[in-house]
Amino acid sequence: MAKPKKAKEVRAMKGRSAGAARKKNKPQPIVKQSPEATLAEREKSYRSLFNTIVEAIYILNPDGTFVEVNKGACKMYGYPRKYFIGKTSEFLSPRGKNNYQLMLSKLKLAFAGSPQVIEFWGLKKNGLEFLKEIRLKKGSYFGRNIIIATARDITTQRKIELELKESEQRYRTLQQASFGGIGMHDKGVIIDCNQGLCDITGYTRKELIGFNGLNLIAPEWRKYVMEKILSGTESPYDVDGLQKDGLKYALEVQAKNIPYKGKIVRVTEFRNITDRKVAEGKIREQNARLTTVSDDLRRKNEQLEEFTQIVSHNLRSPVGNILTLIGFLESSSSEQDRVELLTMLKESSTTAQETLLELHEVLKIKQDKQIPRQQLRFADVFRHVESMLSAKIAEVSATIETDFDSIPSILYPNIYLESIFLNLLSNSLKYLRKGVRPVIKFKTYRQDRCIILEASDNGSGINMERYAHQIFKLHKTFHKHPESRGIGLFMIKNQIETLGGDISMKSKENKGTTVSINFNKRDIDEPEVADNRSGR
Amino acid sequence: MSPRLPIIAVVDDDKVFQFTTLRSIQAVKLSDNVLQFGNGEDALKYLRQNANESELLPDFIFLDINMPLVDGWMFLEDYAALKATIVKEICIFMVSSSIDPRDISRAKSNPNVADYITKPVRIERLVELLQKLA
Repeated sequence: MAKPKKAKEVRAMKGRSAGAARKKNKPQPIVKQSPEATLAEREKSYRSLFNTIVEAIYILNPDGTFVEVNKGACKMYGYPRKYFIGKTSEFLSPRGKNNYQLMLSKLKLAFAGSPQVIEFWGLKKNGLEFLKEIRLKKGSYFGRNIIIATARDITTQRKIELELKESEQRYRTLQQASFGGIGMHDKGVIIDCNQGLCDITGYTRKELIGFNGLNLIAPEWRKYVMEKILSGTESPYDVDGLQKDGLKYALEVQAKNIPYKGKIVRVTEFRNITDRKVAEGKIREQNARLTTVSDDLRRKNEQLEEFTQIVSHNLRSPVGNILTLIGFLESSSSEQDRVELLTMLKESSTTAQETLLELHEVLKIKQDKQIPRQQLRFADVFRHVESMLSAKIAEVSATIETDFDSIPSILYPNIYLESIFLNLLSNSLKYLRKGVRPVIKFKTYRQDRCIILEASDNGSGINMERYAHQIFKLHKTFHKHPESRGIGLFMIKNQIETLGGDISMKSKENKGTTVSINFNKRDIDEPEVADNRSGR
Repeated sequence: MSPRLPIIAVVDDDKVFQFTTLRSIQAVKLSDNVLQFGNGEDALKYLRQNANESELLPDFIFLDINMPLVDGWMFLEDYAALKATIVKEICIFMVSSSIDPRDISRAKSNPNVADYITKPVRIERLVELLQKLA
């Protein structure tokens, strides 16, 4: 149904146009020369072409009145063709939206031979407003000089453009507002950046665009950064940045791969973290100092507890005994009894005095942090101690092996090292395993940055599960041995610890004992802090 | 016949304390059977060996803290495990020269310790303690 009707319409229009054209074109010589049939054929094909074009086409007189419009134009506005002819575009313009004077001047220019483009707000028959782009060009229409106007609805396009512009504006605002430096680069070459990046690096934006971003990194870090770029990592990392003036600064870099104009580029943020680094350094330094102080306090506290323990047990005991014995003595009548009591009194007094001396000795050690140290050869000191114990060594026919090759010497107080060797060796010679020939080994070695002295034997050993808590306490012995007094390990532990070392023991009953001395366990932690302090 | 006197064990490495305690006990006739051990291990060994011999087991133990080998604390640990196998109810006093509050509270919080006595121990205190429990 629709098709034939349409065809009829076309024919009708054709008829009218042809008629009009014929009338108008009559004076033209070309028309006269052409046969009527050819002309009609040409006009027909022209019309069909004119109307096939979807875009709106208007034929205008230089004064702006419509000569002809195509179907596209009618469709664009919703008016029939007849409605246009002879009128200017004023009726197609919403009130006040277009500058009609500008339109006229553009028409004039176009007519003079220079093609023009103008934006024009259109008003459809149904009241809808829309924006179109009109191209004006001089042309001829059946022999007449006219202006051909083509129009394109650009409302959507304009809207998109506007949105794009706004979004770009937003993006730029955001980028400029960022306190960090943001740059976008393609394989290192900077495509765009914000003011922040200029501020951080000291370059202008103009200088930065097209610049190789790796130049913003200190040379020694470039390889590292290149690896980060190539691996596409998105987590932040710290490097040294290089400013235009050659200054280096602590820099945190974080980048993300994003698609941009059909390829993947990297958006990189630079953060100058110098302040943070300085603050971190200070915190670390303070932390280290606090740790040292707290360690020191803890050790002091432990020592105080140890002292309380010693005073409580080792000193109060003999004093208590003395008091009791005196009580007995006062009420004693037998001479023989008094002699016995006096002997015990003497014994208790001696014990009290010995404990006092030991306490004093320990206190002396604690206060003697600055005791002079000498460069000592382990072998020399050991040989001396060995000779002191030679009788005992011969008696138990012990084999003694030493290996001080890897660390032959140490800076340490001679009397302390002597006391360490003496205690360890005499303990090993004392606590033997029945039927086993004693083999005692001493060796030194380096562990991390520490000097270790290790003494091991194949003696009776100690049940560590039971006695570990008592080993380094005063007057603790773990063997029913006549020579046990339980002073040695307690004393050398104090000596070693006072000089920043550490002593530990491993042992198994009926297997043997190994004592390890780490001479500078705490020395190692402290110099760093000391350095910082001197640097301030 | 007068009632049987309790058996008292003194576990202490201090020979002088052993001597003075024995003498005090004998002076006030608190016991006519005092067992003496120089360390916790010897005392435990004795308890284990005589777990079924009520006649030989002590009624009271005076236990020192600070001793070589098995000290007072370790004795208490082992005793806790041993207790069920022993036929006699034994009353343990911790006797130490320590006035360290940590030692005192640790001793008093042990269910097997009847009381904590600081050295030197006066005779009157001994009598009072044993009479209270008698």
